[in-house]
Amino acid sequence: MERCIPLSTMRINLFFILLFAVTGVTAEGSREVVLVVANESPIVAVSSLELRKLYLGLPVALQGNFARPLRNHSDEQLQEIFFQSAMAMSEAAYERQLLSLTLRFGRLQPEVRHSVEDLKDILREDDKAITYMWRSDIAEEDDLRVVKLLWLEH
Amino acid sequence: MARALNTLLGRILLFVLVSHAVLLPLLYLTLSHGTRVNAEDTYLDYLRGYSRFIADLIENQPVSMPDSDVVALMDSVVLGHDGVYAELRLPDRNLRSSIVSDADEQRFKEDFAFNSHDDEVYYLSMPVKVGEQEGQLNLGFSESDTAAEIARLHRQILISLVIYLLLAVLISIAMGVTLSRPLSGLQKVSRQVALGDFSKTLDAQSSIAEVVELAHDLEFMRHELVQVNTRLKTEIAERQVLEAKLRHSQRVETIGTMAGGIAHEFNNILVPITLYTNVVIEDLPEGSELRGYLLRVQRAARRARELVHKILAFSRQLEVEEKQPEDLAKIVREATDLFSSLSHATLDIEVEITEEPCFVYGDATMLHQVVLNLCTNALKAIPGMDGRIRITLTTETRHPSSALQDRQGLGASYATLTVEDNGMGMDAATSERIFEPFYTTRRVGEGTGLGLSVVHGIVLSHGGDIMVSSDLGMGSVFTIHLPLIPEGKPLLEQAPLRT
Repeated sequence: MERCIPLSTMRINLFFILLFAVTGVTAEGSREVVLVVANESPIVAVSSLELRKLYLGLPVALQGNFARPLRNHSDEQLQEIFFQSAMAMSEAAYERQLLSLTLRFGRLQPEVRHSVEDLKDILREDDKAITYMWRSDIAEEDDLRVVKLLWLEH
Repeated sequence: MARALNTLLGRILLFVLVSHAVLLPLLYLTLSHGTRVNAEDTYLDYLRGYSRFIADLIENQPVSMPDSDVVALMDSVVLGHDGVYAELRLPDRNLRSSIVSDADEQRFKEDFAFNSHDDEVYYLSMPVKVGEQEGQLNLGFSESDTAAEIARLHRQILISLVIYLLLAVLISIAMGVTLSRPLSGLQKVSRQVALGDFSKTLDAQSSIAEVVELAHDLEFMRHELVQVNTRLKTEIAERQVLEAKLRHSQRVETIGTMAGGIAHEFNNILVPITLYTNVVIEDLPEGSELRGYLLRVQRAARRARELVHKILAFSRQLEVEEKQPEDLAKIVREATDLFSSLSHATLDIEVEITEEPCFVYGDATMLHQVVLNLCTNALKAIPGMDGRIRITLTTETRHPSSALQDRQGLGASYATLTVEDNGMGMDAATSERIFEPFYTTRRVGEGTGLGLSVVHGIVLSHGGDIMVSSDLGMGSVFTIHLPLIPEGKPLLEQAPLRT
């Protein structure tokens, strides 16, 4: 059956092309999305379940420390990967659940940042802060480290 | 076509069609977009949640699953609902479902949106930690069923909107008919009213307030129109009567003026005749033949003088020097008493005089003559010995004759004297000329035709009016109206009018 390509799909493809042009790919030829903290952060490991709880605003103690989750809105594909691989739900469902938890239990929603540099600064200032970003974004950052691989390009 | 569109039904239909032509596509796009997004989100939530569940199942084992169990789990995923592809990719090995092939692996392109690669399969990967190794769980699910479901929902929306449009058209037709039917009825009756048929009422068989109010207003207009029409007809009829009366009065006036002029000149001629005849009679001896002739001349001259007097009375040229407040009731009573004593015994005379003060400004002798003349006229209209004459005197504050009202002003009080008989009556032509001088229906020698003319002249000279109502064989009614004055006081401002 012949099918026409939806406008949204075309937009995403175009976005990927531009993104590849800007960010480039890793030396191995595949891109990665990773969970990042500061070097001096006491957080060393995060399970998938803890990650989901953390980004739904639930209080999660990681190695005895309550982490401060930050949402990275710097690019659209990163968000799609975050919703699919980390949160395992659609964006609409995530926003619904977040709102529901906020209203029912008064949980604080994860902070949203639109700039990678902002996120890096926060990570450096707050050793409990944790966020996700392209591995290429921290390739030259010695004071930041990866605690978990979230997504690996196939 | 243009006429059909200019009808109420046409306009409603046009409006409904145009508005739906604009709104329905928008509604369709909105609904189809909403259902598509909703279905896709539901599908994605299910897939991602399910994939995470499989990943957690592998990840959270107390002891790492044997590879054969992982492959069996991958097979279970592929065999499950919508499952197409499943593999666990670890750094040192690749555990793929036994049901999928290398070709399937080549087709793996990760999706982040529904139907993004046009391959009808949604591929996604989940990070999995197996022991100390970090790997990827790659799964694929068919999008066909969801795409078919979305298409089915779009068809349903389209069908629903088409049914909605048809229902809207049917309802608008029903509404148009409901609105236009009572209006058509009103239009039909309005046309009949416009053509002069006022018999039908403008009543709308509708429960719509605006239509009912319109019908009520139109019916009110029709009712007013009927009333105005009736009033106009009455006024035209009254005007015709008044014009006839005016013509009659003018004719009588003309005759009176002419007769009065002749009578005046004739009176001047009679003066020397009477004077010199009296002188010669006094000089002649009693018993002379010549004296006898002159006495005849004298009697003839006296009759001629009386005749002249009557004509002058009719023409109102007779000077009334003795006008003063007079009790009309007393005058009528005396005159009817005199008439009763002179008439034969079988005549039934009824007299009914009001107890109210009934003063008029006038000449008692003349008013006396009016009553006597009317009674005499009534008596002569009764053919046999049996008859009835009814004389009434009443007072009124309003006069039925608008002409007289106009003359005297509203609110004036009047005395009404009627003399009614059950005699032979008169036809309309006779009634028309009854007050003309020398007009009589009697044989020659039985009357001069001046009696009613004199009455007419006296009444008018007293500021009143006289009317006659008669039917042939049914008798006649003479009605006189005279203006009343306060008891014993002459009203200067109510000086008698000369018409």
